[in-house]
Amino acid sequence: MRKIFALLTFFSLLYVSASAAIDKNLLLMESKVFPKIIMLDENLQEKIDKKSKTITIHIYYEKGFYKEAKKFASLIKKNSYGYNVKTVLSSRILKTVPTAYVVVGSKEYGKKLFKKIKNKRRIVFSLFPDGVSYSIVTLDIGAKVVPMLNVKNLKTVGVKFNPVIYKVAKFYEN
Amino acid sequence: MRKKFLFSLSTLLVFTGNLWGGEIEDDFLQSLNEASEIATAAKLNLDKTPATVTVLKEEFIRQTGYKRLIDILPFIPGIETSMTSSGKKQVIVRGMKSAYRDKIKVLVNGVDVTNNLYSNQFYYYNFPLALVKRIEFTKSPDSILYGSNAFLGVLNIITRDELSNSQVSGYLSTLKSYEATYFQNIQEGAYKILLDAHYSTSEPDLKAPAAIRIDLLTRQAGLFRTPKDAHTKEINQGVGVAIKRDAYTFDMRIEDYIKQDFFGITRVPTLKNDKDVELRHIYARLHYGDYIAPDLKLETDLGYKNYLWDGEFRTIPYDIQPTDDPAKDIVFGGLIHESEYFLKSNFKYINDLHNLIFQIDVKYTEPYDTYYSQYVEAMGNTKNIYNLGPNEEKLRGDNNIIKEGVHRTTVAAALEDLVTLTDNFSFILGYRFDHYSDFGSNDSYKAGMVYNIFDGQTCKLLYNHSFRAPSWVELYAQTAAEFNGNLNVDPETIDMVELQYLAEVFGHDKFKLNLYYGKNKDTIDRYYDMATGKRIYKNRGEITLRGLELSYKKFFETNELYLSWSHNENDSSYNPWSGNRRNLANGYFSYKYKKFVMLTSFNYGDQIETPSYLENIDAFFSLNETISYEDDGLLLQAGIKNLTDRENYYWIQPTDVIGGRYMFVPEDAKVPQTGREFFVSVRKSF
Repeated sequence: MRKIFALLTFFSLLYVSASAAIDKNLLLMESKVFPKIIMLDENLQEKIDKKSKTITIHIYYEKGFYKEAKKFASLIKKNSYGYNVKTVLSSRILKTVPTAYVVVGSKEYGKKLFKKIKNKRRIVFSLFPDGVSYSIVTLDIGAKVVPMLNVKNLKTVGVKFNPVIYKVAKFYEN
Repeated sequence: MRKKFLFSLSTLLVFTGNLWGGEIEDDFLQSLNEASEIATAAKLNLDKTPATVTVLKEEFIRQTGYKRLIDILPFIPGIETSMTSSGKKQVIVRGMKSAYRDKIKVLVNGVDVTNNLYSNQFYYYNFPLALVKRIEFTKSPDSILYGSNAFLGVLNIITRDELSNSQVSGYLSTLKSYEATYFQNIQEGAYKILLDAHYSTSEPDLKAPAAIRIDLLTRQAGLFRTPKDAHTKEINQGVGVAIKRDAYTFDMRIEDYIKQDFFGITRVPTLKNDKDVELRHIYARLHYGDYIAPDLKLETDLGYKNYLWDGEFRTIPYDIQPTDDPAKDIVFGGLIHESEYFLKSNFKYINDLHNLIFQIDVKYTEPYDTYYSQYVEAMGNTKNIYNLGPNEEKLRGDNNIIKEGVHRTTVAAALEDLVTLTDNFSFILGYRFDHYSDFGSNDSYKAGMVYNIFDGQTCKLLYNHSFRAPSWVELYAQTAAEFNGNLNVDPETIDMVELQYLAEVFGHDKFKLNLYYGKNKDTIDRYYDMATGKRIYKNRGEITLRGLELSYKKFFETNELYLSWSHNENDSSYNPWSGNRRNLANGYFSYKYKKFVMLTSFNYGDQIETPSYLENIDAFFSLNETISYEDDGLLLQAGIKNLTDRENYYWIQPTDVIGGRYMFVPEDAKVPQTGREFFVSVRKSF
């Protein structure tokens, strides 16, 4: 019996990899709130395809998180206030600048994206709460669910929100 | 710099305040309320909410490979599972064992499936885990929003939903246990349709111990019946349907449970195996839930429930003498239908400070088409006190199983407010008033607070006063057997104080300590009335609950170690033998390797103390191993339960006094649990 335990412990210590699953309820919450936050972007009109009135959300996923990224895309409503909502799943940074980004991956992965697009004036969401350090918005799950804004990154990127978000948000400080 | 930034934002807010209230802003605020509701419903913010809740998540449930709901409940600190001599499964919460009901409320997707007849729900204990998304067990009494029976806790079974993939599954084990389940998630335009179905059977080979007869007159005990094969067959089958469109949901579920008598309902294994009992619970509900303003939500449930108890069981021979002739058995049986119509509305007001719920709850319930049967095949047409209705006659009127023409109307109103004063401090207050048409009114109340000492450390203090309404059997049973109701029975109540400390240590590891102290007053139980020679229900006394629960969960990236221990020191003013195990421990270690997951787990309970003339029931221990392989929606599992094949037993109390003179009990007052079990299962998602 001791040999069995020793073997199992050995295996467990050897192999530490893959991805931590995201709770599907968290995805559901984020899919409800994030599109509403996009609507609060004061410069939204400059970031949409005016002809087709389409909001494009780039779901930037890390290897191992494809399922979560796909699920998140399927949960987002496809229209909102007369806009079409289009989601693009890609783990590469798009040449065409979308309306907003959603990072599905570790904060280090988000860092790569943020470095490259920080002058594009786009909202960057993080599905993982700890990813807020390299994004602009995530959700804070307390007794109440509220947006968590990264103040420094918000300033760096230069996104202007409808003031209502500041009334309820928590602020993350790097 | 940050201060300047926030100052400028605040200034902006002041000057733009009059612009708020637009549709987009309202929609945004409403989406946050919806998200808060999801977080609360999914128990994602447990450290911020005033309740003692344990959540068993889908991933862990899947990794165990276990088949039935009751198999997984011992992983919740303070929960022990057991069984009666007749095979009725029991859930013992914090050491409170009760013969006929577990004094908890069981919900399936929020619908109460506890019956009014006995206030029990064991027909759901074999519900297939393959169809379960999440299990929530609230161990705090909580009548405010759940009413009667949320006494020692609330067990909420959340089945697979529109976020889940469709799947089929199959299971088989060496204990002659088989199961097939099906779940389909259909999204068609604005409609979401969820269908599930399951069928399972189980018939492990178990030997019923010898039955001992205790003669109270001569003070002697002797062998009454030699060991026999136990009759262990159980069948569970059910279907569930949910149709969702926008704010409306219609759902219904049928759960059917057929069981044999295991080791004998009178602790005497039967000579013949020809009687089953069937229990069937059905509910249908129309749910509406939507925001009528950004901070005001209305939820209404309108529905119907139906419960059936139908069956017979063999008991002891009518002359209470050893025999090999099953025709001498007294056969008890009956039929009870009960129907319930319910309407429940929640008005939820949510803003920055308040999370207020006002609830109106109205029910009408009645038993119908009931009868009692009691006969002895060997007595033919001769009518007497044993052969009350010869040849399976259906007895009604004064001989019916329950008083005829009874019904119950319940009207309740409740108010609960969770006030979030700061990020670190919130408190809750609640009050509920219930009026029952058959026994009067009842008040329930609660208070609690949550304080986040600092990031990752939380302290909760909770107080609850809850009740359990007498069931129909406790009020109206009138059988010649052991169950006699009493119209003077009052609700039993419980006052519970809990102190909980939660901490995140070494990064994300979770430590939880819960201390509790409670009083169960006016406990409803049976007593032997010397004058009539009957067992009659009455409010008997007080039980003090005290104990602690400790758990620790350590995360190694994708691997997980979990350990828990609980201890109780309960006292009863009228029954010194609780029949429970005071110390419980369990744990698991799950480890992932590529597409494999291995889960090693154990469950332990110390010995059960028994009266001095009996040996204590040995400690319980089970070591289990499950290996899963998952790829592209295909899940293959193989596992072993009770790897060491340890002989574990359930404690069985002697019967009540029968014939004014005798009591029966299995040899050593215990019955065996199943031994080592190998199982395999397959699941395919699509």
